[in-house]
Amino acid sequence: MNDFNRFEDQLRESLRRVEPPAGLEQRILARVEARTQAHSRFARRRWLALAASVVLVVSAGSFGLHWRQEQVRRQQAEDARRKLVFALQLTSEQVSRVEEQLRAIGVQRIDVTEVSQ
Amino acid sequence: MATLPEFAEIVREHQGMVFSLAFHALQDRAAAEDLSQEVFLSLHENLHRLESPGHVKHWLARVASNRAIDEIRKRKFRRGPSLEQVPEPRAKAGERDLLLSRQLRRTVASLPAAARVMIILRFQEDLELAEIARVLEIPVQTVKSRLHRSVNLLREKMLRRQAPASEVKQA
Repeated sequence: MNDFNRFEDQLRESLRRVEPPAGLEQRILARVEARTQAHSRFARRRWLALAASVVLVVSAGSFGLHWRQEQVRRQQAEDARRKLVFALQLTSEQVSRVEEQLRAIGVQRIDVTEVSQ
Repeated sequence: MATLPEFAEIVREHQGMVFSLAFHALQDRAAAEDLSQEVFLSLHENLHRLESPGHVKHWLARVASNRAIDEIRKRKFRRGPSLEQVPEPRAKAGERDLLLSRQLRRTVASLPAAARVMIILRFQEDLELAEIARVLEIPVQTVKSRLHRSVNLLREKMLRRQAPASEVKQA
């Protein structure tokens, strides 16, 4: 055996594996378990947050839709009120005009009799 | 993902390799244990990505080597305990020249990070050059030349020390 090979053997001998510290395996497994539990807690919280977000979005959407429908209904009611007011004004003006014309030809009163067929 | 008993089996099988690699690279038992724990935690997270159980050893060697190199480089900037303060690990073997082994380990620990890990992979784990190249993700030729240079450097340093008990003395 030459010097170089002998030196390599000495290196091999010096760098042989050493015993890991007692309990290393248990400490690693404990950390793995703790991390797994932390991950599952985190995952559960994430699902809860997701579910809460979905509920919030659906509620907001539903409220928005309801609010929009209410707006449309109010708008329609306002339009109908305006039309009715206009119609009543128109009718009132027509009635006043007819009254004036009747008064001009001396009619004071019109008796309306029921016409039977 | 492996169950905890399956993962425990993997830890049992490879903890010696990972811890020894870290210990020889860092010369610090506490730091080697920290590094080993981190490597196995990382393995647990990445186990589902490994193609087969056969890749576990290679993956562990690669991650442990890279982390050891990073740690050595970090330690260059914050001084840790000196090598004289480092307690010797309990060795399995009985009969051997403790003084020479200690000197050799210290000399290995004086090498640059990448060369140190390369020497450990070669002489602790008996990896072939191609395997070291795969672990460190560098060309085989680079491994070959760096390893040759590192061994020669170690040999020269040991000769310079001229330890009386050393068998490294040139004939």
